[in-house]
Amino acid sequence: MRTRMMILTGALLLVFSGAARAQQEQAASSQDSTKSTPMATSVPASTTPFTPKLGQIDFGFRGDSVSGDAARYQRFRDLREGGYVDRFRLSKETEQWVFKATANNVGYRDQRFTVNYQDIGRLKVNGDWNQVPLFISDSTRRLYKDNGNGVLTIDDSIQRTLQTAGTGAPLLSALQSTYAGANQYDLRSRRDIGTLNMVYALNQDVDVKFDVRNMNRSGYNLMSFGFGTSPGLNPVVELGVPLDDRTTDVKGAIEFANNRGLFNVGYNASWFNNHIPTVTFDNPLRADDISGGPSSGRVVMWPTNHSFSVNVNGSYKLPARSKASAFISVGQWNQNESLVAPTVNTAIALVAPPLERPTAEAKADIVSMVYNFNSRPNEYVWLNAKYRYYDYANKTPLYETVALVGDWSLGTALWENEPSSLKRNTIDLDASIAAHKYVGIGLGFSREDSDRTHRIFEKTAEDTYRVSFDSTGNQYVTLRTKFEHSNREGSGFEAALLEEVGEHADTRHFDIANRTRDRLTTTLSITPNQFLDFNASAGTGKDKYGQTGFGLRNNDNRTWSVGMDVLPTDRVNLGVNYGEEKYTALQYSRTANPLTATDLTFNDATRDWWTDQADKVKTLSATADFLKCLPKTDFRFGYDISDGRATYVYNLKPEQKVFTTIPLTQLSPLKNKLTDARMDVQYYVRPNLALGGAYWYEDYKVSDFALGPDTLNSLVPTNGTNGNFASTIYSGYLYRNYRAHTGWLRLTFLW
Amino acid sequence: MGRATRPLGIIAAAIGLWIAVMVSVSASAATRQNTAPAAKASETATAPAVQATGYAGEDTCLTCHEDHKKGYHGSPHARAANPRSPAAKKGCESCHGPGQAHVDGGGDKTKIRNPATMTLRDANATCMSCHNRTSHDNFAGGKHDGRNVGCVTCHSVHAAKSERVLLKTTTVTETCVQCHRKEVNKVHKSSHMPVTERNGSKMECTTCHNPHGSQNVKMLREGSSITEACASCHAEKRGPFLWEHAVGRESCVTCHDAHGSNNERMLVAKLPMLCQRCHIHSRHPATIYDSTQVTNRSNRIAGRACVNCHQMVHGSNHPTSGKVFLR
Repeated sequence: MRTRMMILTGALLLVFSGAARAQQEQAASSQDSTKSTPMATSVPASTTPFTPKLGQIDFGFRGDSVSGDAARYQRFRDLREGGYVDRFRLSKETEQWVFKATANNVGYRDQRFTVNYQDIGRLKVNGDWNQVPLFISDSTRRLYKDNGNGVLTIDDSIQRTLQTAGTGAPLLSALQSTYAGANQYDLRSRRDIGTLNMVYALNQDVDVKFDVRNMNRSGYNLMSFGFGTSPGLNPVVELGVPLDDRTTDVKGAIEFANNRGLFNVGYNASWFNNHIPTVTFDNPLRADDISGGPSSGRVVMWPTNHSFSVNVNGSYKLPARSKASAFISVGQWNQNESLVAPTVNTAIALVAPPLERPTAEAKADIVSMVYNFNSRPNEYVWLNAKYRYYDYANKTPLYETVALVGDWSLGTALWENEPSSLKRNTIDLDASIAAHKYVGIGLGFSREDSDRTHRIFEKTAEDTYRVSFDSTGNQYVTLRTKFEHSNREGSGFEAALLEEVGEHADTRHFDIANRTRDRLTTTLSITPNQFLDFNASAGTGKDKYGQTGFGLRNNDNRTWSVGMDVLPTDRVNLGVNYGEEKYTALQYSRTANPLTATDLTFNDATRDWWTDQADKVKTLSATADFLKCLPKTDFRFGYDISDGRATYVYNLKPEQKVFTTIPLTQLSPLKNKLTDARMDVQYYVRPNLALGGAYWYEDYKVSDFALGPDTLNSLVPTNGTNGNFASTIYSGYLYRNYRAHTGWLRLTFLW
Repeated sequence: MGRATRPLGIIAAAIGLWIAVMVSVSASAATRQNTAPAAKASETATAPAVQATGYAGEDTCLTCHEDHKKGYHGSPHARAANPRSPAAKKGCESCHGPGQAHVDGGGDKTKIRNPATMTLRDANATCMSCHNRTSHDNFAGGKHDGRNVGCVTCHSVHAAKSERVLLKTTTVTETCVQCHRKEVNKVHKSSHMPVTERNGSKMECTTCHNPHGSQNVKMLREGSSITEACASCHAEKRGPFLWEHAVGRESCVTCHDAHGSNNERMLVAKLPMLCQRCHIHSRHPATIYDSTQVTNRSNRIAGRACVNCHQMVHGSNHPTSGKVFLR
């Protein structure tokens, strides 16, 4: 009911904005009389000839030398050796139309093309073809053969050899020799994104907009799956899962806007189609299905889904430099993918629980509204009030199933899904007082009430108070600072949800737990003259989850940076910035078994432990540009370092009973250091022709206890293949160092 | 009482001092502006097009302000065929207001509107008189407006350096970094989006955020929640799923830092510690995964830790194993 009322209110406001059109017509006629004065007709620069635009093309040769993890070096780029054409720009403009085209790294995996055409004042069309590669690893290996349609198989003879190899050491030995013959493959994927945007101006006030975007994704993604739920009888396998999906987004809108208001009605729709809805993958260890383990597994990939929304927004200018605006969106997300049989293990398929329904029937209705009122009644005061409503109502029917513990055993427990819904009501009230032309003091208050399903707090309410001080607009100095304090409290606590999954009653989930938050940020920029600029920033934040027993208790951050830019002449530009970030967190836990009549460790506080986390990153960035300091020559230099170090330190009580035989050994720090330097030189043989060279150096040093080669430099599990702690057969994906040198020899032609 | 009032007193004194400094600085700047030579402008006072409307005409403006011509002509503002452009209206005076009094006053700077010396919000109102479509309609009352970030803070009509959208800097990132240093530094970390040239230049800050304000939180361009914004590109994770992970449904940034991180997949902390922030006791999460577990290659910390098994952590459609996000 309340929702309907708010929609009605919004609709009224939007209709009100429609009145702007009538008033605009009146205003336009009075404007026209101004335009018709002789001088006014002579003012427009329509007679000024347009300067021909510049065209540009870079072409030449690129060379590479990469030692180490070439995949991580390239990541979203394609820097392979060879000839290249880059930075193509073509631009032609007349008084009536504009045409622009660009092309980058033509013929490579990250190539991009754009086209823009404008019939000035009437039609704008933008086309974009953008390929975004994601190179994950070139050190991955596999026994699998991709047969298409999501079917990954291992040669039967290999499976049979390993199945008959026995257990323990003989099996590991057989695995070792088998995986020695695994084939290397590049683990990569690519998004091909085609976009078309059109805006057609029906008249001075009305635009018709149409956007369509199609994104194909193909390749492989790193994933891992087991052949049973925990405790598993078989290792998990990490593999490159084939991807083949398409997302198509369509947006259409008609928009009226004039100097009094705006009214926009639009429709958005999106279709995600996964052409590989399931992936089946052979179990390296088994050729035959038995109740204790399958010869293959099947995973359900991302389901094909659809979303749409109808959106209406409008705004209307009011007296005293005020403005009211409203936005209403009503839509739905849905997916109705066919459900698959719980197991492909033929040995237990007959006892597997039947599907409660053949398809997912998942859908959520979404209503979103924003109402805003902004006013500057005089030059000293700025006021804003915003109300935001968001309702994600998950209408997916309940689904109940008997637990199937992996592919090998039928459980007795009943599992029921938990369609998550949430509703947020947020109000923001802000005021800014201009104490001086260059000084604004802001005060603000926000309250967010959230209502959720299937969470330990049914509701949370968060109050936020903020004060800001902004000294801007002065040519010598800019100072911005803001302090924010917020307090979130939950209500309707449901201890039963925690008990159901065997958690302690004083466990809290940090995203909705009671929390106090304090944040302070400051930036300062000093420009004593046109040649110098100094800047500094600092920030600190403290999140305290005061009533959390188990879980995240504190989460703090502290950052600062200093930098300067020097421009001694218009040909020289020097800049340097150094910054540090530090993030710390404390989380609390207890090592214990589920509570039973005989095992009381669950309530034993001497088994408590906590983790102190600290993540510190230092960043240095420097640039130096020397343009025509030497005749006809431009030099550009850049240098960046990002040096990170993270620690996770475990702590125990003095009377602890967790480590009674083997001592606790702390994890080694995680280290990430990326250094990159780049140099670019161009020598202009003629004003429109430059010979040039560029050089990039990148050096990445990483030390990661979980993903480093010291831990995982083998595809086979070293922790055994049976039992509760069955390990994973890894793919060879690692965090590795790399050092790369890339050079370009290029010719730049301008016309 | 004394303890409570002391910080407030210090803050009030600091603000007072700052305002005093600003008053003296602005007085000095005003003096300098007023003593600037106006000879050139006075020459143009004899220009023929003296209008009753107070408009001097663009040609008159350019006789003194020739240096502004380069940045203006060739820009969208100068396309007279577009009836919504300044060129189709009053040229320079569409934004600067009637200039005849300024000309007649020998270039008197107090008699012309100059967005660079106006209050930011007044300058914004000038820009918004044409930039009044949905993409800019939420600026008034938005985060940037509230903090006195104006159009001319980032854009320059006459001396833009960027290839598009008339920015004062060469790239979008260079503009944003001036205030958002922490966020921009994160793109240098090992796990990041393809933002900046070093990472492929496939995205910009403005790919996700609309600096002119939006209907979404955090000035996100798409959708009405953080999850909706992320799902606009990661539509495969949109669902809804048969089995939901409630925390992910509520907000992606509970686990991921979209600006970059040194953890795998831009996670805010390393696994399994991140999962252990909520999953405290239900069986194996309660274990301390120390260095001995690493040496033993426990798959609950080695490699991708929890995700080695619980791969479908964003939600699953598997009829049974989806309950615990295994398949």
